[in-house]
Amino acid sequence: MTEVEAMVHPALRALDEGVDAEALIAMRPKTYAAFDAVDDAYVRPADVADGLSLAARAFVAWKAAELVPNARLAAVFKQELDAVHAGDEPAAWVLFAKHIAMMVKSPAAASKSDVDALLAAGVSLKQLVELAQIVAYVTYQARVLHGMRMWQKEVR
Amino acid sequence: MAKIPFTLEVLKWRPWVPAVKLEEADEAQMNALKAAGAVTRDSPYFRTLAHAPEALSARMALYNDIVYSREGLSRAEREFSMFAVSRVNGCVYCAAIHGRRFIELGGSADVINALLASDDTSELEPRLAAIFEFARKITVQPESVGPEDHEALQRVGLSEAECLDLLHATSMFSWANTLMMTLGDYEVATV
Repeated sequence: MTEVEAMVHPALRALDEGVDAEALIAMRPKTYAAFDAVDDAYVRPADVADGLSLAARAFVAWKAAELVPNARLAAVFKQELDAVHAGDEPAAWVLFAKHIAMMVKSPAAASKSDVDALLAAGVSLKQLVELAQIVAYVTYQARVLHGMRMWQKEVR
Repeated sequence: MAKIPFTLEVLKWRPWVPAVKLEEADEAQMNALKAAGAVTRDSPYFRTLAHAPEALSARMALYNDIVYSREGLSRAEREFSMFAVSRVNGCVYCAAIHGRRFIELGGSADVINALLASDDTSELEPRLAAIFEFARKITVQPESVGPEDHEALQRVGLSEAECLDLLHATSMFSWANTLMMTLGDYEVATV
């Protein structure tokens, strides 16, 4: 994907080489437009208000992508994180990382105490649901990107 | 998560946090709930997701396009693929809903009941077997998906658009199952 294409299709920035993204987008333009809109709304909303910060969103997306796994996608989110955050990770992110690992690797083992732990640490209901949505979205995105390799031509 | 076995019974999902009450919802939350079809029909699930209304609204535009589109992959095969992902992920609630929907759309109840008992697809007719096995691979080994999986789907007659629809539907169910399994629990609905 070229840099220009990547700016227009943020959801597909981590797509492998050799996949004709435009041909697939042309097959389902509504789907890909809604996909790009989710990527922007979840990872770089114009106004975070009292929700998760841009840095927290990029951190959550990075960790989720690493775990699916989708290394290219994880690298893209790590770059976004580095662009908005420098220095140590806030203590809350250690708790987030534990919750994200459960969500991605063993969701069937989830229990109320997992959610209670985040709320007890001061995460608001809005932030909790945002975190859950970002993680769950990345599990979708990472898979679509992997799956679009079904149309991968030999890279010369 | 309640450890009840796979079933086609109607189940009730309960959040682990207080859900937004309709009478207390602000404008953004009401708009999101309308997009989710959850104003006239109560849904504790969507009222829970309404705590982050912008995320819910954006999600519903994509979800509705993928799940309810009338082009490409048939509604029945879409529901089957979403059932398959839910079966593989162990999401009893989602498997019940989408198994029932497949049957309502003309799919075989015997096929669903057999898959609820065992996820072995070796006796399944080739097209449904290929769809289930793609759903399994994209769910448990997504990093290994490639052109050979495209060939497997083409061999059972899926068009390019149907393959793409299948990819989005099965991937979307990773999203759906993850939320359902990590934000709440379920039980058999009682009258």
